[in-house]
Amino acid sequence: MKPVMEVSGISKSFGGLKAVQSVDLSASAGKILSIIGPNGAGKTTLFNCLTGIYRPDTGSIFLEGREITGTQPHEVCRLGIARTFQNIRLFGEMTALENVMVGHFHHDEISLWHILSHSPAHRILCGRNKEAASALLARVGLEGAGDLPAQSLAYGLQKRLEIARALATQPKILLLDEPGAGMNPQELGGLIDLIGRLKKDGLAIVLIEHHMQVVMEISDDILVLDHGEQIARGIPRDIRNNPRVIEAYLGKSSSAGQ
Amino acid sequence: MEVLVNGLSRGAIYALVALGYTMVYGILGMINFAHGEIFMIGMFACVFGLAMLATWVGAASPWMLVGAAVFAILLASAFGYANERIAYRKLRGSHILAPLTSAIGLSIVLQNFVMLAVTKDKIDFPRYFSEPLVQWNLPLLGAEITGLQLLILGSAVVLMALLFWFINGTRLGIAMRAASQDRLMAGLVGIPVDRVIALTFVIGSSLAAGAGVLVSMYQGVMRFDAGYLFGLKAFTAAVLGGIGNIPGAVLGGLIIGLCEDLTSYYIGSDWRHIVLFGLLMLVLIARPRGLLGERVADKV
Amino acid sequence: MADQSPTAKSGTPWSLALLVAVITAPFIWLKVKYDFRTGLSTATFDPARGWSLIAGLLPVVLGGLALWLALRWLCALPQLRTLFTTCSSRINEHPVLRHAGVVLLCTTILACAFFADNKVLSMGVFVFLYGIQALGLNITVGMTGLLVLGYAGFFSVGAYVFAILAHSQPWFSWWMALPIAAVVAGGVGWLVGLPCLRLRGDYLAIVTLGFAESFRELMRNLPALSGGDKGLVIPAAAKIGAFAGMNRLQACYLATALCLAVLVLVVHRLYHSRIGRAWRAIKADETAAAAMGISVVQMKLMAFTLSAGLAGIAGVLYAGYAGFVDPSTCAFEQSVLVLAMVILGGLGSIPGALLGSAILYLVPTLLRDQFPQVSEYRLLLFGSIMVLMMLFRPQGLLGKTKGGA
Ligand SMILES: Nc1ncnc2c1ncn2[C@@H]1O[C@H](COP(=O)(O)OP(=O)(O)O)[C@@H](O)[C@H]1O
Ligand SMILES: [Mg+2]
Repeated sequence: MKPVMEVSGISKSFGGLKAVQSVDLSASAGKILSIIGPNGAGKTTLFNCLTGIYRPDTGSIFLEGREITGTQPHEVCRLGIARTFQNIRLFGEMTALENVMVGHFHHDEISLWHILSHSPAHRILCGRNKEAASALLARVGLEGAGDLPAQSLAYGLQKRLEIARALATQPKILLLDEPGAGMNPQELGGLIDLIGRLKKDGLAIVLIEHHMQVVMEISDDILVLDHGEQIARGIPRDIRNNPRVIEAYLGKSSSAGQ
Repeated sequence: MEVLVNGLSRGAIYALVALGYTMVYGILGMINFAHGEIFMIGMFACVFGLAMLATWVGAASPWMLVGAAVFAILLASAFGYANERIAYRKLRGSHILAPLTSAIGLSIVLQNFVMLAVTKDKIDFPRYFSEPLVQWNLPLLGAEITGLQLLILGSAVVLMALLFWFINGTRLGIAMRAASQDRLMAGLVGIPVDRVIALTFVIGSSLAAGAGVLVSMYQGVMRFDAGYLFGLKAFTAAVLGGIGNIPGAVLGGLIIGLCEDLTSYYIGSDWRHIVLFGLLMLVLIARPRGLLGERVADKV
Repeated sequence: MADQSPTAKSGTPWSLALLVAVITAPFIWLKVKYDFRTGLSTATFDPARGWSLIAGLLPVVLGGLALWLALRWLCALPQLRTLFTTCSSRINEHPVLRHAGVVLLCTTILACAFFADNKVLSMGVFVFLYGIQALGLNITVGMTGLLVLGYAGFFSVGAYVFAILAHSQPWFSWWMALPIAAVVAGGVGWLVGLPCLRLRGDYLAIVTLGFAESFRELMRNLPALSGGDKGLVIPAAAKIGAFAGMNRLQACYLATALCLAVLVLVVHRLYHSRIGRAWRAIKADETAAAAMGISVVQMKLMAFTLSAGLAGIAGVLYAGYAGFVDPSTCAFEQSVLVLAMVILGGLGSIPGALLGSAILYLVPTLLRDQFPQVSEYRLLLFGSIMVLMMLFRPQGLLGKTKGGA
């Protein structure tokens, strides 16, 4: 099957620091690609390049065969790449439902006149939007939290709300930046379930995650970064046994854990 | 030629004030709107200092100017410090609107405080101290530079040199630069961020007070609202050079000063603010980060 | 925030107060006299002046403090709080109640037009005029999170557009100017906003301030067009005039009230639409908003243009009521006044903006007769409100409480 997104040779440096160095990846519908690597390896920076927040120094990004390198963030989102953030970036004072409805922004365009006159067309749109947003909230397990301000939700719920908000943009690819960070095992189980369901719905998923069991369990493909360089890629079994990966990442973290 | 000299000395003063804006912006990412008022306080404090000295000593001597300048700088720095402690410190880390609004409020408070406490009208700079400087002339390339202009250019250069030395050559200056790169990290590696920020305000305020002393001599009169337009123009200078960028502030100040005097000379002084505004818009369109500014990507 | 030093100090407020007392002392206690003959100044200790200043300030400070404490006490009352929440939830459940409330408010305002005396009516005109401006400024400052410091500049554009058209065309009337001024002021806003809205939000603050100053200078420098310093008198035919048995004041009152009502409805609808959500998302987090598909620059420009347009409408109404315009209409003081209204009432809240404008216009106006010093201390008060609100209640009187439930 043809991949939805193909990325080749992406590099990005900040001053002298090479945060990402010629990374290639591809994401396909219904597959999960995980990106792992120690802190500061450049994973988030890679996401920022993919979503247009940073402009990569070199390399190209193709979405469904169309080059989108250097496109503005909001355009990237319209083209079908949605993301969550490592450090939660919800619209804190808006309600959970409104947060999700913000995600509808670019596919509920309606003329100003309809809004100002609150015409039947606008009423219908509002109703539909609300329903769709509630359905999304339910899908990530946030039933009944719709009217609460986003900032008042518990940490784990905020992480889920970010996913719902990203889904509301109706993406083809979902980029998740450490969605499981700070979650307890039970919450992690729920998250794995959710990601599995999204995968089944045919979404291409790119996942940054530190919990190794999660990554090994659900990934179809793994890309390992260290100091911005791509040091390995392959299916989970190969990555687990790759000496360079063990040295750069697993080795360190397992010795630190003991 | 004379226009150029006038413009340069005016620009040097803008540069001194612009430095304060740029330093605070560099470290806190906020526009310290009350900075123009610190400049105005420097002007008033200089006159107060001279008056007190003259009264208490009983006789006047030109050296009192130095004492008054020191007094002005100390007083204005204390104001700058108090501003930071009272109106800004608590707001660090909130939405950028909060400290900015607080700064505007503070600027209004300071202006009206001086208006109510001192006077609504203009007050005079004691001519005795400035007259000799204005009357003494140095012919140069067909133009006449007054002693006062020399003093302005000279002290501006000295103050800026001191600032550059401080920032690049001392431990505290390096701490200051570190804090403006990444406040959180700087705190983690043991830099006393609070104190460094307070120091930034103090230094910026002393430069503004220095500028205030020079301008009060140059113009001879002052009013409580002197800091408003002046601050606005100095801020424009900082934006022009690239806000947060210290050499940029100096360059921007000189350009604004020259531009102002050239406009007054060739078009008419009624149009100078319109021309400056046009210049600001042009720079924002062509080089949104200012002349020497660089793009800094926000960390996401 | 992480960089707030943990040395939460109990003694510090006193040492700060002492510092303030010391550094303000020269301004309060000294009297400086300039002698033209010798060119020297002398300073004398002048306790009388200092005490009179303090005596003037004291009632203002104490009054403000008392008002603040009273408000705090009222807000903290549990009964009042439950009453408020039950009322608001009732109203939310039954839209009929809300509609009834709105109808009641409108009839009261309408009734005032015919039964209130002239003084009340003319104050009403100003409350509505400031209401329109606060409503408009609230779109940019409160909802989108962009500070505008030269809002009066756009008000002035509206007023001048009307005045100039009324002078050139004898058949011109105020209501024709409303849409034209809205479009022109909005267009000017668009032009001013375009270069700086791509940048960080705070550039807009300074650029609009510069715009207001430059516009004032421009109007002063073009006497042929704008009457220069003296300004323009609006021809009687173009002013808001007597209408259908009502006198001029009643007509002005109703015209401004009607405009305000329509604009409140417009802004209310926008607030709850995709556009309003986009604005609020931008205020909360620009990067995240962009990542959710919102074209940040375009939505900011839209907010600012609309806000400038509202100012233009207010400008026409003001000129149609007052009968003249001059360069002082775009004074910084005016911009600050409206900004303080928005901040006091609650950033982002429509009722808050209206309440803020009513309080900040009415309180000084009503007190002016009894306490003449109030008008002198007015700006000092506004400035303090801005600082204190940011420090102690950044969400304003009617804003949502921070931290949520
Ligand atoms: N805007 C930026 N400016 C400067 N350095 C940055 C910026 N963003 C990220 N970096 C640096 O790039 C490196 C990679 O960071 P990041 O992508 O966040 O790593 P990861 O997500 O893998 O932990 C780090 O050293 C970080 O400090
Ligand atoms: Mg990361």
